[in-house]
Amino acid sequence: MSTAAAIQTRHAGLYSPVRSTGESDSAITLFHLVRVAREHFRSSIAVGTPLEVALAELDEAAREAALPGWNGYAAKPIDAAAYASARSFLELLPTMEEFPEISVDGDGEVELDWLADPRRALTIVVGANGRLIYAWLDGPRTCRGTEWFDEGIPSTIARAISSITSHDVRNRTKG
Amino acid sequence: MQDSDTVTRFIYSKSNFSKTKNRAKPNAFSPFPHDELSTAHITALADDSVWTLATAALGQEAGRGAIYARADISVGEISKQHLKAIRDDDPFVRHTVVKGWPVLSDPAERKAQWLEIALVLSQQAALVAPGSPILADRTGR
Repeated sequence: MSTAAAIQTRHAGLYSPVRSTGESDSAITLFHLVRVAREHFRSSIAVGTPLEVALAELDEAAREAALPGWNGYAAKPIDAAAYASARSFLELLPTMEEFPEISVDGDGEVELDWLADPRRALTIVVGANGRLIYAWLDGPRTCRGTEWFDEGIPSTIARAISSITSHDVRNRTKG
Repeated sequence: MQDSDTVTRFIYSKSNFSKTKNRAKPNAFSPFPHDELSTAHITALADDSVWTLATAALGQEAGRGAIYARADISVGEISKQHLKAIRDDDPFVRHTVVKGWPVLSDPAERKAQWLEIALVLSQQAALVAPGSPILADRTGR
């Protein structure tokens, strides 16, 4: 295994832990350089702010959904384990991706929405223990599924987010 | 009801719609924890009349202190999702339930299917926000 491959950061965000299985001098040196670089980026206001805004939005949604029936339709209050999972998931998102809008669903789980346009949208419901239930709208097609995240974002989810957000960026930069 | 009829979903929570995108979020159209969606039939009603109707939906129940927006959708779009809109006028005149949500034994798959339907409906609906939130009269008048 190459030195770089031993340091796993794939589908991981700026705040997720960096792990290294390398034991050589170059692996150890590279591991420390990666850590220093990540700390530098995290201290940057421009890079750190989107995550901070998202976490603040999560906290605001949690406050709104604190009591039973909070949405006027007998919704369950926010599930503490779902909140913790959602927080971890947001911290895993690559910092250059657009962050979702955040709310709570009637089950008390956390809903993350990327609403690019009425024909392209992605919604992910984060439940306890890292369960992700998602639905994806892409023109006339829809798809849905269930994934689980632990230390990284599942590739299906990562592709969906990238597809929706890149389309949104293209739409916003059109003249 | 005809496919050309319109129903609306009153939104009592600020986080259930996107101000930046001017659209309802999927959770605005999710029936959880019930198995049917509560809406109001608004065909042929002027906008002011819809908001007057909205006050009938407000009450002393939890979470119904204010209406921040509504999401209008045609019965035709509901039918495309294999759901059925039935006007029952209960608990208020023009109340309409949307039934037929898939029944599945696997809770995760059921949630995924309902989420998919709610996503499509929310993105097809037209979000309408009042100038200021419609408030319940807490004095009971």
